[in-house]
Amino acid sequence: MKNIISYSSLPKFNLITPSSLKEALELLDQYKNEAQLLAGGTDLLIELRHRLIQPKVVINLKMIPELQTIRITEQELKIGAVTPIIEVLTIPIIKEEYLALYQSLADLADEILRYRATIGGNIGTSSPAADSAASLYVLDAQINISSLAKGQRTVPINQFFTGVKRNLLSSDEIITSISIPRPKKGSRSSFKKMKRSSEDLALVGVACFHNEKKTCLSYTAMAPTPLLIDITDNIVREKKELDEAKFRDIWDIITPILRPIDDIRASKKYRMHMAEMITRTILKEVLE
Amino acid sequence: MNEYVGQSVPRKDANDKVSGQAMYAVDIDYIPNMLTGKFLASPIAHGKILSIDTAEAEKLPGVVAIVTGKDWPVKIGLYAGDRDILAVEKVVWIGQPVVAVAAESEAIAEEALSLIKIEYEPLEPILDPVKAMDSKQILVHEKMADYNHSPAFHPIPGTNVANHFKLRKGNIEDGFKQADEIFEHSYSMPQISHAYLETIVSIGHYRRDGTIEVWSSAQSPFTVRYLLGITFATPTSNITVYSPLLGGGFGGKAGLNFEPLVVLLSRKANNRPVKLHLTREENFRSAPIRVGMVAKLKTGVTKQGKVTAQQIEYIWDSGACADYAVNVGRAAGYVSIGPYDIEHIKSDSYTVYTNKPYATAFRGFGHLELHWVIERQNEIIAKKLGLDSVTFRKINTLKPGSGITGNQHRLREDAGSIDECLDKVWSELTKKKKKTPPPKPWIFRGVGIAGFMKGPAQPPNSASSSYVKFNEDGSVILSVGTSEMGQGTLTSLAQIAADELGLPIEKVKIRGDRDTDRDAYTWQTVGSRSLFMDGNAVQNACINAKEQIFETASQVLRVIKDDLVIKNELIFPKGEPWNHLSLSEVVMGYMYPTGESIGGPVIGHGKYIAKMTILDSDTGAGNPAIFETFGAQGVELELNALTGEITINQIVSAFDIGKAINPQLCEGQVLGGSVMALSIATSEQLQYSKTGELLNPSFVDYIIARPGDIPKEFSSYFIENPQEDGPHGARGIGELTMIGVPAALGNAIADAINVQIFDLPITSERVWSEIQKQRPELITSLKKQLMEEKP
Repeated sequence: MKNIISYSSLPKFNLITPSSLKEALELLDQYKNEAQLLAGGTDLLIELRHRLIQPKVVINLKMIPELQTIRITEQELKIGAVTPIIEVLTIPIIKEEYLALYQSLADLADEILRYRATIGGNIGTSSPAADSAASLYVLDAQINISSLAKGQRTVPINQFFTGVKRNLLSSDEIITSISIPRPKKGSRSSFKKMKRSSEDLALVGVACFHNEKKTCLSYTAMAPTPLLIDITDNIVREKKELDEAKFRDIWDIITPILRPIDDIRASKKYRMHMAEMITRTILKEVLE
Repeated sequence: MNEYVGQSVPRKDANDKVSGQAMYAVDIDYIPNMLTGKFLASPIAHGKILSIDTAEAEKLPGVVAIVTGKDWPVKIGLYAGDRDILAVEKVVWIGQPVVAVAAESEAIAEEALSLIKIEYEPLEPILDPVKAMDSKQILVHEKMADYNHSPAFHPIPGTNVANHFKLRKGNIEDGFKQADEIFEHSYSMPQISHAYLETIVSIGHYRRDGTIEVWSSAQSPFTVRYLLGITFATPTSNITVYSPLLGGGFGGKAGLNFEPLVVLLSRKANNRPVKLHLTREENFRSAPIRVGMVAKLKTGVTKQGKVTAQQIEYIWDSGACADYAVNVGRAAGYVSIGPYDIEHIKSDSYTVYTNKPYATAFRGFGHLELHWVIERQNEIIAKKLGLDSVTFRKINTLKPGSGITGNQHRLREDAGSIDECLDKVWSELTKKKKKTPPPKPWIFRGVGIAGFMKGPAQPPNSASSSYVKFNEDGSVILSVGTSEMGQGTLTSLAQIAADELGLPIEKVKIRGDRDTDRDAYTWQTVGSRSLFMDGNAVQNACINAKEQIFETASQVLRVIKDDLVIKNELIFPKGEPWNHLSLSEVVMGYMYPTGESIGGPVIGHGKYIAKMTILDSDTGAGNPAIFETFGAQGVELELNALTGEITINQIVSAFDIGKAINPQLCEGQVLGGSVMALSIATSEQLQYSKTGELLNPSFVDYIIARPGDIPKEFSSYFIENPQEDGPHGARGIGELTMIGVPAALGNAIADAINVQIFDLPITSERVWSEIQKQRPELITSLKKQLMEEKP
C-alpha cells in the first residue's frame, strides 16, 4: 500500500537557463531523457511537485530570444514556441485571420496563467484537452522542431499528437515555433468550448474552419488526442443550406470518430451531447 | 448619539490587507529553532494498522522527531471526542494523519516520510451515509460507547449514528389526515470543501517548563486553548494561543484541528517549535470539510395552502469524525421545517459516520441544506396548489409569538419579520425582471425565491467579554475575543465603542490578531454570533468605563454622576457643555491644581452570556438561540435548455437584521455569501472513488466560482425591526447571506422550464440530464429550431 505524501517542496534538479537555441539543443543532446524543458512551467511545476517526473536537469527556454519571435510573411504566421499566450493574443492579424486561435487562447485557463503559459508549451504538453490544439488543427498549423543531431524538421500538427500527453518529439528535440499558413480571403474560423465555470479546462473543445474550398472541424477532450475531421465533401460540394437533415448527415460522419471518456468532469453522454450542440452552433456561425 | 453606528465606516484592517502588511500564520517564521512538520496520510479508507516502521526515517540526518498515534493516544474533539491526533489502532479515512515528522527542512521531512513503512489490514469501508445508517457490520467507530460527548448529543453506540436529534410537535398522523394533498420527495447535497484561500497553518511550541504556545490559523483560539488543556492535561493558564488574521475560515477553522499534532511534535523534538503548513491537497484530504446531506420530506397541505404536517428525515454525512458535525445535525434538527409555523411535526436528524474526510462547521451550518429541502418542496407545493410563491409561504410563516421547536418556546415579539423579507425580495425581483422575450427559443427565463432563518448554534452558556483600556490622550484600546477572517465585525465593534464613548473612530484601536493571554474571552467566532454577543460585551465594557470616568469627573465638576455625558471627547453635565473636563484629563486620573490626584487609569470591562436552554431530548423543545435572523433571497436567471447552462442575471436579498451597524460591511457579506452559495449550488462537490479516494483534491477539478461567474446585479435590502437585547437592535448576518441562494436557484429553474431538481450541485450537466429525463421531447424540438433559425 503506497503511502500518501503531499509534497510542498520541489524535487532536486539543476535549473539551466541557456541564452541561445544552439546552447539549449546541446544541453538537451547531452541530457536527453534526464532533462525536462520549461516553456511556461504551468504544467511542469505541478508535475515536479507531485513527483510525477524527477528530471536531473530542467532546461529553461524562457531566455532564448529566437524562441519568442513572431513573424508575419505573406505565406504564414510564425510564432516562437516560448511566446506567452498573452502575447500571442496581441498579434495584429490574429483576430481577423485566425479567429479560432484567438478565441481558444483567450479562453485558455485564466488570465494569470496566460501570462506564464506558452503556445509551444501547450502543444508540447500534448494534453487531449489542449486549448490551442483544435484551432491549430483546423488552421493547418505546422510544428517546427529542432535537434542537434537531426537539425530541423516540420510536422503537421495533426501528426504531432500520438496519445494522452504523448507526441512524436524525441528526447533531443525542441519545438522552436509554430507556422500557420495565411488563410485565403473569405476564410472563417471559430472555437468554442464547454466548461464547468467561466475559467476551466475544456470538457469539449471544438474548432471549425471554412472557406470555399475546405470545411473542417477539430475536437479536443473527445479522444486520447485532438481529432481533425474534414467535412468538405458535405459542405462545399453539395450546395445546400445547413438544415436538420444536412446536419444529421454530417453528424453521422463525426459520431463514430469521437471517443470521449466518462470521468468526474463529465459523463461520456454529456460530452457527446455537448460536442453535438457546439458543432451545430459553430457550423451555423461559420457557414452563414 | 449615533455618529458611527449606521454609517459605512471604512474597514479598520483595509490598509494592512490591501498593502500586504497584514500578518497571517504562514508569515510567522521568526521563532528561533523552528522545525518543519509533515505527516503521512492513510492511503486506505478503513483498515487496521498492523505495523509502523520508522527505523530508516529516524536515521536520516535532519530528522528531529517522529511521532505516531501511540505517543499520545487521546481522543480529541469539541462536542464528541472521536478523533485521534494520529491514527492509533485503525485508520478511518484516506488522508487521515498516521505518522508525523519534525525535521530541519521541508525537503528532509518529506524524504523521511518516504522512508516510513506502514502495514495495514484493509477493512471494508462504508462510504454511503444511507447505508452507514443501517449498517451494524461495518462500523467506523466500534468503541463509540467509550467516547466523551457533550450532554446535548445522543450517539447510538453499536451503529454509525453519532447523534440522533428528534423534533416532535402535535401528532403527525393527525396532521396528514387533515391534509388534502401530500407531497413526498428526496433531496441531497454532497460533501464540499471550505476552499478558503489560506490553507491551514499551525505552529506548536511545547516549552521546557511545560507551558505551551501555539500560533494557528484558528477561528476560535479560546476553544483551541481549552481543548489543548484537556488534551495535554495541563491548566489553561499554561497555554497561549495566538491566531493572526485569517485568510478565510467559513467554519473550517472553528474547531480543534492540527494544533495538538504540532504540540506533540514539539514535545518530542526537544521542545523545539514545529510549523505545519498544509498543501492544498492535504487541506482537501486531511482537514475538515462540510457535511453531505440526504433528506426525505413528506408534507401534508390543505387546498387553501396551510401546511398541516411535516415529516422529515435528515441524514448528515459527517465522514470519519463528528466532533463538530453532531451540532450541525442538532441545529438543522431544531430548525428542521424552516421559518414556518406547522402544527404537526416529526423530524429526525441523524449525524452519521462514513469512511470519508471528516466534517466540521461551515457557514450556514446545516441551514443552507435544510432550506434547500424545505424551500424547494414549498415551491413545488405552491405551483401545484396554484398559489404564488410568496402567498403560499406567508400562509405558513412564523409570526411573533409563534411556537418554535415545538410549542414550548415562543418566538419573541421583536424577533423580526420573515414576511417583510419575502415581500421586499419578491417585489424587487418582479420589478426588475426582464420583460422582453428571451432572444432564442431555447433560452428560458425564470425567477425563484426562498425564505429562511438562522440563529447562532451555540451552547447555552456561550459567552463573550470585552475590555476597553484608556490611553493618556483619551484614545482607547478595545479588546474582544472574536477573530477577523474577512467578515469585518471588528470595525462594527469599534463603531459601537466610539459612539458609546463619544470618541472619534480613529481613537479606537482594535487589533485583528488574537492572543488568548492578552485578549478578552469569547467562546468562538462562529454562527453569526459575534456582532450580537461581542457587541453587547463591548457596549457593556464602555458603559463600565464611563462609570469610572463619571465617578472621577463628578467629584471634580461637583455634579451628580448620572447627569454626566461624554461628547466630542468632553465630559460635562447634560445641557451644560461649557462646564466640561476633557477625557485626557480624567482617564489616567485627575490632578487638581494643588497636585492632589484622584481616580486612576480606566479599564472598562463588559460581558454577555447567551440566554437559551438545553433542548428536550425527546421532543427538541426549548429555546435554541439568542436570535433568529430572517431573510429571503431571489434569483433571476436564463437557462439554455440545449446545454443546461445557467446565467444568473441578478440576486436580490433582504434580511431583517434589526440594525445595519455598517451597511457597506453588510453589503460585503451579502456579495461574498451569495457568490459562495452560488458556487456551492452550481459546481462544488467532493467526488470519491469506490474505495473512498478523493478524486478532486485540487482546484483543477474542485470547481469554485470564478470572477466571470459573478452575476451582473446584486441588490441587498436591510430591514430594521430592532431586537431589544441586540446592540443597537442588531442581529447577525454573516451566514444568512448564503442560505437562500441554492433553493432560489432551483426554484427559478422550475419556473423557467418546469423541471424539478432535487440534488445539488446544479451543474449544467445535471440541468441538461434532468430536462432530458423530465421533458425529453423538448430538446429534440429545440435542436431542430436551432438549425432552422435564420441569422
